[in-house]
Amino acid sequence: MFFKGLMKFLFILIYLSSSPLWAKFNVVTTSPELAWLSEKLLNQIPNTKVESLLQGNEDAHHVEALPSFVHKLNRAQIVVAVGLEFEDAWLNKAITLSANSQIQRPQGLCHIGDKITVLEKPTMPIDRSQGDVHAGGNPHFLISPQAMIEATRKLGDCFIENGQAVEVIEKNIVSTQLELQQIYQKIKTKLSNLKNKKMIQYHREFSYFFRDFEIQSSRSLEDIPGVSPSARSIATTALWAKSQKVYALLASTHNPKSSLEKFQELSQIKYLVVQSSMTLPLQNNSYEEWLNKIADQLLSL
Amino acid sequence: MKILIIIFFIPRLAWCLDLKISGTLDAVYSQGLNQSSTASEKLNMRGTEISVFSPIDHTFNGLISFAAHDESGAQNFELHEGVISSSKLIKNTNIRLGKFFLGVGRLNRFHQHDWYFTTAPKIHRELFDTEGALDTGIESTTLLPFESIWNVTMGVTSGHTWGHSHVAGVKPKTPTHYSRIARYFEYDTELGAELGANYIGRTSYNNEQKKMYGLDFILKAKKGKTITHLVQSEFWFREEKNLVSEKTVGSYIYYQKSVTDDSPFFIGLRWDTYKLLDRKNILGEKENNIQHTFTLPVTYQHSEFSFFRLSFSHDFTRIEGDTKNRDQRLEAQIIYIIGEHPAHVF
Repeated sequence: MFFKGLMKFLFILIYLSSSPLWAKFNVVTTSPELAWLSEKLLNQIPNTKVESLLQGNEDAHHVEALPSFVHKLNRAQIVVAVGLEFEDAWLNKAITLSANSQIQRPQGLCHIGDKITVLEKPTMPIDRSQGDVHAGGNPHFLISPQAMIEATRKLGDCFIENGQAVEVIEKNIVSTQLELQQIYQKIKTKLSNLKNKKMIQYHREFSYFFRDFEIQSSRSLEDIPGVSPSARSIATTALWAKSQKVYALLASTHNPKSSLEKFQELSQIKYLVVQSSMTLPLQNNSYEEWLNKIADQLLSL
Repeated sequence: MKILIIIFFIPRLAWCLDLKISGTLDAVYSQGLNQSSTASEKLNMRGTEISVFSPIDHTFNGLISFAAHDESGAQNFELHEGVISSSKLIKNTNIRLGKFFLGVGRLNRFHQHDWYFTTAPKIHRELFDTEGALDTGIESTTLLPFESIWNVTMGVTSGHTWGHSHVAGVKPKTPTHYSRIARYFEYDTELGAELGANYIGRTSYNNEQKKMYGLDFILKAKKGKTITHLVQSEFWFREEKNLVSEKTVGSYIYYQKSVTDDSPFFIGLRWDTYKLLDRKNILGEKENNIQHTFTLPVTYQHSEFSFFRLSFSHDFTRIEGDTKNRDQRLEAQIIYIIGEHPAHVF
């Protein structure tokens, strides 16, 4: 009697726990920007959870397939990634280790970069002698509101493909694109004084930002992507920057300070270290706050 | 002929079939610094490895790797690993079948060219091999459904041989069986540690019973692309029973620090201990003994794909208070990886 009762209880427990009524739509994104965008698009859809693997302060090229990533991916229904080989060194491995067949389906992995108008796409065959060059083009587009508008459509399509309510997602795509357009206009107005000014960047992380806000940028301090510049290369770029009256050198928190200081010393041009990614925890206006902070830092020079 | 196959056939096949292919060279020059040193004093192509891997179909992945190892001066070319694996068959579980390095400990789960130092600690060399214990069998790794991060690995392999062997061996009474349970602790994505507990057992055809128990630990702190601090350690206890019982215990602890937060130079220090608990002298009396090795490696990481390392090591055995078998050596190592970008694994 007791055994039968226990079996019934277990059956009901298993049934309820596997019921779609309780099932959560777990979205795991690689970066905080994509988590912010996912939250926007899933607004008003019940039982959804969005998590980002990266916290925003890492160098995403050199992250490892951490057990904590594997743990989060194990519970995901969909993985949202930048693509363009940005996370290739660790994401594929983490997905395999997660042993989650849901995200190993073609629909389970959403590469946003596929639908972005990419910059700096190599036109010649590439190999490692050219450094960390991405065959698909520059993957650092999340800093650009214009690229994020394109990303919104792709992400929405991925959610719809994974069974989320079409009407709600379509409505959220429109409102999010409008919000991003407003953010773009605000920052553009704010940075209007920098229009057509020349800037250089340490690593090509700000190319999309420069494009959006019409800042001229033709060069990076790294002459080989992903490789710390030599003293000679820093000196050459510093002299060039001085002759071109470059406004500033823009770098991120994980770029080597020694190279930046050497450049500043040789060129007498200031360098500015900014957060090249949004950081957790996320809030409704995190994206705007992040770009505003970069704009304020640039204007404070 | 084998070399010709590697150079001409595999890359073309890879291109045609969309195989991922990578090649690794691990070369070591060892120079003795004292008279009793047993350093080889020649440049040794310690490991040259070609790996091809790709999905087999929508369920399985395949990996085949060939390696040429310098063994007593001869280059032995062999199938290093040949694995069919799947992470889609059973929820939360990765399964692999074939020939592979047993998923136990820390060093044994990684190829020599991925280690943070040149030569394996004495306890690893004695219990596993200079590189690691390879065998044919089946292994599963399961992520437990808890909020905290636990992984359980279990495996059974043929056990005809143990370690790295070039003979067929004999069917054992109990095949090699092993398990590892590991817990990962994370402060944030740039600071994490993993602790593992291991068990390995085997009874050979001639009733030689081997049981090994071990703990492994790794802690990594990163800043940007640099591992600024690293602590790695293993402790192993082995009990072998046949006509007599032999117990062995050993450990190593390794600390490595980057010179600065963005420096390509890393300095480390490793302390190994190794002790035979049942060692007896010629009179049959118990003999206190312990072997210590101190290793000081300096690594220059030119890029993600090439490393240069110089290590000084001082090795000595203490028997009943006397110091014996001093060995001081300098080792220079070059490692490079070509082809497919290697996965970054914790």
